[in-house]
This record gives sequence, structure tokens and C-alpha cells, in this order.
Amino acid sequence: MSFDIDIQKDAGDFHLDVKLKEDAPVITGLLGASGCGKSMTLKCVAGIITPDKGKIVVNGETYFDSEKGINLKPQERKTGYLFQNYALFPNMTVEENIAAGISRKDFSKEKIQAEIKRFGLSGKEKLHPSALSGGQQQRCALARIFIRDPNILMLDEPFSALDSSLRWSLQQDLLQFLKDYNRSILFVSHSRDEIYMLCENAGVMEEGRLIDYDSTKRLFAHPRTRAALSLTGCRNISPVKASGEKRALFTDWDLELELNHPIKPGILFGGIRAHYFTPCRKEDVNAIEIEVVQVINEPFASNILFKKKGVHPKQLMCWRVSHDQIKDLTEFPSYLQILPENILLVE
Amino acid sequence: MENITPLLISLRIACTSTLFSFFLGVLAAWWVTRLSLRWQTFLDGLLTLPLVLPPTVTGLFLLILFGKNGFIGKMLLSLGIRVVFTVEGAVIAAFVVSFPLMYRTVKAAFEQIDPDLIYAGQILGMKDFEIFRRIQIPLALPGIAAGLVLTFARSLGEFGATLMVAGNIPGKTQTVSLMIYTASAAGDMSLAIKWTLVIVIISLSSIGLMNLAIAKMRKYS
Repeated sequence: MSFDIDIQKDAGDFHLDVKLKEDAPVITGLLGASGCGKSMTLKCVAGIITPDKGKIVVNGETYFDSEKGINLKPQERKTGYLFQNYALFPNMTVEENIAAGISRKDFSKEKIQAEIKRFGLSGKEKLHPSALSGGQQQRCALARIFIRDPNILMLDEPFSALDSSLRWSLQQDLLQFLKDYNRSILFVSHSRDEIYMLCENAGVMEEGRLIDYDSTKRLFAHPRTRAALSLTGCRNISPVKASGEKRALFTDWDLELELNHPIKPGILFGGIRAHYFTPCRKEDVNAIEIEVVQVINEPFASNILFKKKGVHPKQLMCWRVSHDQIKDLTEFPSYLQILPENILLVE
Repeated sequence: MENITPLLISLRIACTSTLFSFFLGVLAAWWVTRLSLRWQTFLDGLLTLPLVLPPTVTGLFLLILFGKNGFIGKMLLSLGIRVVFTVEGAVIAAFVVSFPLMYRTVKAAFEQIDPDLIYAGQILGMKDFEIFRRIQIPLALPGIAAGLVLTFARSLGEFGATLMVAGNIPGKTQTVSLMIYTASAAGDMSLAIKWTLVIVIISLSSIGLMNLAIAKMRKYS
């Protein structure tokens, strides 16, 4: 269970350049804003879009190789693709949809019944997709894919069409089905939460390029690029300049902080995750005397926008604090601290 | 009604031409949607031309093509088939003029289908013709039905091109439309009005049938 993808494609002023390789059956996430080329990458693997150059090898089988002139049709690739809107055939019943992907010689009523049962669709066999709920539609689409036992499973933003209340339970459902599915899985999303929850490894895409690719844990703990930093949810990002042996000036905030290491060449930005600030005393390391500018409340947390007292920075910083934590505070602290090891430095 | 021959001729021509338009229109629409955009634009223009040209111009083109010395006319004559001044000629005229309606309506219906459904079919291993038969055709059925009625009504009402190619021979190529023209030109207004009513009734009922059929087909969308 492996794949090796290395493809380039020019589409007008958009340039796709992606290298992904896995040797074990894991869930690999692609995180990126819409239009960054992540769905295009999946469509290349499925054979819907033909890359200009490169190769796509899944489980040792070459789907595409521009040098050897190999380009299998989508029908010959045996991939599984869960579309954003599931792409169930509206003119067919649940049963017919699930059977659509199996050839006449593999057709068996028992097999179809088994999938219907496994995906909790018993009793819905004769319904058309429009009569199903969003969750049932997704399970029907999964059953239609799983019955073919594809070599690689691709999930294209499977939750973006759903209400947030429904999303959580569907995510848990999907996790259940994927947990014991011993195949390579490519999962595309613009949601860092989904990527973090579902994927062992993850890559970050920006303008067609894969710019960061690592285990999900490492990607979130030590992002290497500005895009990875911001897509993994870091709210405070500023250009950074060395101002001493282990000190740096964060120019957008007009703020100088102490670091753990000297700044390496190539480092251009620094980031501070909004929940890493803690109230502190004046004499602590990296204590910032703050002036609160605005408070933005969420149901269970607040985002406190502040700046260093007495300066006029280009950007405010954000301190995110749960309501439980600030319950006892009668007023905002005068000093906030950011520990040197919690400062993220990226290219 | 004293003589229903014109009606029989009209129905025969309209049904035959609609049958051809149905098969060729659906296939042409399918084929063209699979081509590159440049070819699509070119073929779209070519296949729509008979709809926008004056029927007499279309008729003249057909006369040139299917006449004794025409490219196709010569071939057909060698097989013993005469087109000019025959009911076959009227069918060809009605077909050429009404075909664009079928082609355009069905093509629009194909283009309405979410491309992800076609991709899903391909990824699920369905052959292209199977996707056409099991997904595209069923989803385009309301469009196909609309195309059928438009084509039938246009064929039934064809006048100019038919007159040019098949003439106005009573009992042979004289359709209801030609009959109405002939009667009113001869001052026989009551005969002209009688036939006009017949055409209106047939046209209205085919539109009614179409709406019924489309309402039935839309049950799952």
C-alpha cells in the first residue's frame, strides 16, 4: 500500500507542482486554501486531469508516466474518489448507485447487501439520493467506492457542504470506516482541524506548490513556511529581523523578543500562536507590557487584540484565552509573556 | 373534413423527420460536448445555421445538393432514389430545418449535468457509452422530450424549404401548411381556417403532452 506522486502541470497562469510519497497505508492530508491545486492533484491521480510531466505510481502500478508515455484511463486505475457533493447519480436508487461501480461478472446481490448493511443504509435500498439526509448520502457514496475495493481512496473536502452541527458526527462516522481500512488515503481539506484529526501525514499547498510535507504532528508543531504557519492556524505572524545574538525584532508589532537560538539564514517570519501568551510579572523573560485595543468574543473563548504599550504597530497581536481561564480576572493583565521556545520561526 | 390527405402527408413527414432528428440530434449533442471548445464552437455554428437562415435559403442549398446535378443527388439517383419533388425531399427539408432545435435543446440538457457525475462514472469504471446510456440520457430526458416536441412542431409547420425542394403537388407533397397557403391564395378562406385550426390543435396538444411527460420525469430531482 504505497504511492509515489510527482507531477507538474501548467494551466494558464496556474502552475501545479506536487511531490507526495508514502510507503505505508496511512491517511495523508493536503491542506490549503481553495484554488491552491489540492483537488486538481486528486483529479490527476484519478485520471480526470492529465499532468504535463511526471509520474503517478500507486501500489507499484504506474498510472501515469510522461517519459514512458503511460497514461491509464480513469476506468483502468481503480481509484476511489469521494466528491465534495458525493456525486451520487440522482436517477438511480441507493442500490443502483452502489452497484454502478461493479462489472457484470463481479455482480452479486449479497455483496451489495453487505455494503448496504455496513454503511447503515438498510431499508433505504429503493430510495433515490434526494430522499436521503446529507450523512446518508455520504455513506451511500462511500459504499459505492468501498465495494470496488480501490487501490487508493481520495476524499475531496467531504465535510465542507455540511452544517457544523452535522459535521462533527459525520467526521466521527468517517473515522470509524477509515480506521480499519488498510489502504492509502489522500484527504483534501481547507480545515486544519479535519487534517489534524484524520491524517497521520500532511502537506501544505499554496498556489499549486506543495511547500511543506511532514507528519501532521511535526507540521503543526514546527511549520517551516509562512503558508504552513498561517494554514495551521497561527494568528500572529510578523516579518522578523535579527537584532542581537539571540534576539529578534518583530517589525509588524514593533516588538523585540528573546529567542532560544540565533536566527538562521533564510528565516523571514516569526509566529506566535494566540493561546501561547500567559499573564506574567514585569521582570519575566519576554514580558510585554500590553495595551488592550479590542476584545472579540466567541461562545467559549475570547480573542484579545493588543499591542505593546506606547507604540503604533502595523498590526495588533491576538491573545486567545478560554472563558474558564479569565473567569477570575477582574481586569486585563498588564504584562503578557511568550516563552522563547514557543516562538515559531519560518521561511 | 372532405379530404385528409394533406394531414396524412404532414404527419408522415413530421414523424419521420422527428425520428431522424431524435437519434441524430442526441448523438450529435453527445459527440460535440466531448470535443475541444474550439471544435464545439465551430460545429455549434454549422449545426445551428439552418435555424437562422431563411427557409428558402436552406431550401435552395438543399436543391443544389440534392438536385439532379448535385453532389448527393447524383449518388442517390444512381441508386434510383429521387429527392426533388418527392415526399422524401419534404422529409429532408423538414429534418434539416428542425434538427438544430433537437441538437441545441439536448446539448443544453447535457451541459446542465454536473461534470462530477460523469467523472464519478469514469472513476467507477463505467465505459463512456455506459455513462451516456445510464447517466447522461436519463438526466437529459426532460430536455430530450422538449427537443422532440419542438422538432415535431417545427417539422409539421415547415413551409419554405419544403416548397423549394418538394414543391406543392396535391396528394403527393402538399402538406397542411402548403394547403393553407394554396387555399388562402385562391380565396378559399373557410378551407384555410379549417386547416389552421387542425394545426393549432395538434401543436397545442403536443406541448401539453410534453409538459405532462416532463413533470413525470422530474420525480427524482
